[in-house]
Amino acid sequence: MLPEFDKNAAFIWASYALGAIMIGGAILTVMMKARLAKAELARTQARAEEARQK
Amino acid sequence: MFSWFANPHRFLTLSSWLAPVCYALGALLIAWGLWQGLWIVPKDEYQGGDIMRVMFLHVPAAWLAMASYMGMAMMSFIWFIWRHEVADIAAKAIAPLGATWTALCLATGSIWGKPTWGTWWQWDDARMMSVLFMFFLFLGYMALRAAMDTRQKAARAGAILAMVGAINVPLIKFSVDLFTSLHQDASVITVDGPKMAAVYLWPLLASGLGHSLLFAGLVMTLMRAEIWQRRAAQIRARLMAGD
Repeated sequence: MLPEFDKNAAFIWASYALGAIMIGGAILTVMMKARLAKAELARTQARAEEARQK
Repeated sequence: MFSWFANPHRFLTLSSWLAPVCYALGALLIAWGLWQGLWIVPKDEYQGGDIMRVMFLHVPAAWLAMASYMGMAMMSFIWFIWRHEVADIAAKAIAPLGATWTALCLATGSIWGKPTWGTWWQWDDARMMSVLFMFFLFLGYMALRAAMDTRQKAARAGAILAMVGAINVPLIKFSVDLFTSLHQDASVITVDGPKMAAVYLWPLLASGLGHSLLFAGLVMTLMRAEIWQRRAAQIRARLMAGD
């Protein structure tokens, strides 16, 4: 159930849509970066462990 | 106190529970502020009718843009004086997020400006130009760091730029008092206290706090990613050296 606004409704929705896209994009990017960094560290640690055992 | 936080292991332990708490509280406060701002609070005819509802996104974005720059400058100062790596990691993590919230502030301000002032942008408006300058400072900080060939040089060049650029933040705050601006005078953070009606003030403060907590959570997550990347690089370097 969306609220009804006056003649400037398009401006209000455009602002909040932009906010959702930008903040959502920032959250996604940060989470992806953290996941990739963690996976990369795990891979590197496994390689180091393998090298130590050889 | 800075030294206690300067330990990356201690930071990883602390942020492993603090970041999710920030996300949860931030999301709750933003959702409440949004619900109040879009559905509950009455429109203010003096502020142009319903368009003032953009305030619940634009104003927190503006506060956070300035606060994040000050945070980046403070972390740079701590790195510059005490050489704490975690402070440099924090400054580096704040930059892209600060740029995002500054861009959001500029974009929503422009959208709010069109129906209110009849223009998307005013080149001689001190508030708009000083915020735009801060956006370029964030981008410049990231570009400068990326252009350096060692981490130490990147941290040093970035820290100097961040600290010098901090002069711009009080200029943004007081630009409406000192120069010509389409913006109204401060109505929340004033010497005499907030001039805004409580019905608008509380959702605005909740939204501001929510954005700040979300931002803090994101900064912590980015810092964790940077620490993991640096650790992986160290291990790779040891492997290459045959240790």
